[in-house]
Amino acid sequence: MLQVKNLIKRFGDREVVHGVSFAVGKGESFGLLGPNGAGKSTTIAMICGLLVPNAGEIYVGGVNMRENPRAAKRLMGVIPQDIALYPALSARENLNFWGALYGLYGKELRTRVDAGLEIVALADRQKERIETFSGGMKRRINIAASLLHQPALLIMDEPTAGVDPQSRNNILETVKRLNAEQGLTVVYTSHYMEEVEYLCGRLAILDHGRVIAGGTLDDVRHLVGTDVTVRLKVREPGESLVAAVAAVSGVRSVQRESDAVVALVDEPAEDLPDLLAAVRGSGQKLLGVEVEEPNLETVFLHLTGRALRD
Amino acid sequence: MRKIFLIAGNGLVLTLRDRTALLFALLMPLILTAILGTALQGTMAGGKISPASVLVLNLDQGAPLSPSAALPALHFGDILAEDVLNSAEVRQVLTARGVSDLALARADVAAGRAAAAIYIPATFTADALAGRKADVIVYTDPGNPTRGAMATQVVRGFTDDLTARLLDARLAGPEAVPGAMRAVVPEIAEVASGAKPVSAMQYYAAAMALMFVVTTAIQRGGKLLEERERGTLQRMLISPTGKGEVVGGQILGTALLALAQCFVLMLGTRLLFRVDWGPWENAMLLGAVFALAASGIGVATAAVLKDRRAADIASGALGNLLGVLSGTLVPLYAYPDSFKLVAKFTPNYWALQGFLDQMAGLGGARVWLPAAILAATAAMTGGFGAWRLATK
Repeated sequence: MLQVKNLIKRFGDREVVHGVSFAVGKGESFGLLGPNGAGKSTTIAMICGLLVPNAGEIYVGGVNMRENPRAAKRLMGVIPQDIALYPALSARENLNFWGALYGLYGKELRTRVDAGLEIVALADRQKERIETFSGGMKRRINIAASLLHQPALLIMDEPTAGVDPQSRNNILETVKRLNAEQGLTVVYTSHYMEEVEYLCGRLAILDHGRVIAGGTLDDVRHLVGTDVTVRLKVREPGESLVAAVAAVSGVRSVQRESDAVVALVDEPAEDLPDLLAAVRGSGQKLLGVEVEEPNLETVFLHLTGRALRD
Repeated sequence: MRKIFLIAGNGLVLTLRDRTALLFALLMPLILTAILGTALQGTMAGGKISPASVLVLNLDQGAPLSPSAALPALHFGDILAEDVLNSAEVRQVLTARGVSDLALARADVAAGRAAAAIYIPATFTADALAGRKADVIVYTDPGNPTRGAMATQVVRGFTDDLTARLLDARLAGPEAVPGAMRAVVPEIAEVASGAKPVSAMQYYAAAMALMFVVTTAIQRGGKLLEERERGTLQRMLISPTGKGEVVGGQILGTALLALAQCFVLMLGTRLLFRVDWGPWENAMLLGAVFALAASGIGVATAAVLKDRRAADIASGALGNLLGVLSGTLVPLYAYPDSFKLVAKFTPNYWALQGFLDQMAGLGGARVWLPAAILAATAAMTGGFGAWRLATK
């Protein structure tokens, strides 16, 4: 559905996207993950046709964006990072306008607007002006405006930035449902790894304008191995406790922190009883246990030495 | 094309929803017209602001004192035009300028661009010396009697003095002048210009409408910058809509708004203050081409500015500057000549002069020059704005 080949973008002398390539299959939900300034939005702007790449090609549904931008744009729905609506117009008036820009008129436009309002559950507020809506409601109309022309590909550029948790969940559920029930292809950019993990089957991680990792979620997670981190919280983690934990079979390494002993293990379900016994045997009182599987955050940390939200 | 109208229509709806902007665009010019038109009627007629401009057409060919005398010919017309009207004393109240076309001079008086036009016939000296009726004709605007009266007073003083001197000459030596001269008393024929007077209410109705149309057009041009800041411009460009359609829609929206505002103000002043704009077809033509020129300026301004805030500032500053330079607040005749020259570089000036000519009933022919200049302004500024925005 989407092919991005060796995209390069320069602003003056500064190259901000260096040969980014990835492909998204029909019906797939694809994540573009990276910290702020990684080049995600620039890449998305080129895919949407807002920016012209200095080199590289973009194909949307087989249509070359450079050669036939209008046809390529008809296949895409884009949910911008910011709320791009007219505050003085009602929800329905906004949708009417954006739908008409995609060539929808008359009865077809009315039907699509009705459907859009139903999808985002705001049909009962359709006559109210956008300026009276909460931030979350505006976000939902922002999404509806991108779905009116029934795009085959939905591009979402950090759609949950600055959104309250309830609205964020609503947005994520809506996108998940559209992908699962209607087979909508989704490209989702975010610097929230949990959103990408929730929505996407495959992803690419961008940093400094390059794809530094890509594949299925498991593929990417396994870049840092399969070890699980077990954090045993105690009041005074002494040498005797570190030695006892290290002696447990299955423990690959142990680290001492100020209030915990941290062990890397292969199979936490098998090793955890022995680890708890080691704590009891050392005479320490166990204050808590945290088990952390490898995630995209740790992958990013492993690959770049920085946290995603740095 | 459909999308251009769609974007233009959306812009108009958004403007109509902005009640504050709407009140400013329509109510303020009406209020200011009412205040200035009423309060400054006397000032316009008083002409005390600066020396009044007087146009002089001197065709006097002079005549010898006596056919038999070997003396140089006398030129009473030159004495009036060059010595009297350009004397230091007179220049404190009048600024005389020679012209070659009486019809144009009368039209300038009718339109308020000059306080009076003085016509000295070719046979003035000859008639005076021969004792025939010798008139200096002073054309004044009955709508501004005081300003015209200054010119009349100066000419009357000259002719009285000339009469006295000629009589003295006759008494001193009747042989020195022809006998017929005894009956000579040069007279001033004070004649109205023939055109309808333009009232202060008419003047300010036109001037205020023009100033506010430009201001609104620049503000409306700034909407494009607001669209960019709001992200709706990017959203339009993400859709299958060309940059040309987006820019075209914005320009059309600005032009339609300027047209609507101009015509509403013309109609409003007609209904509220009984302002006579002259023949409607000419007034509407002028209003239309001025609205297009104003929208061109609005789009061109938006094309060179960075954000909406700058456009808001520019709309006030540039709108007022164009208005003041072209005589919106203080009639142009009160300005020094250098300012009058600068005024000719503003679209407001040409539109205002065009409207004043039509209000004075000077005929449809006088609408074409300002209309052509305004149309050219619209094409140049709109073309530049469209090019700059499309390539930005």
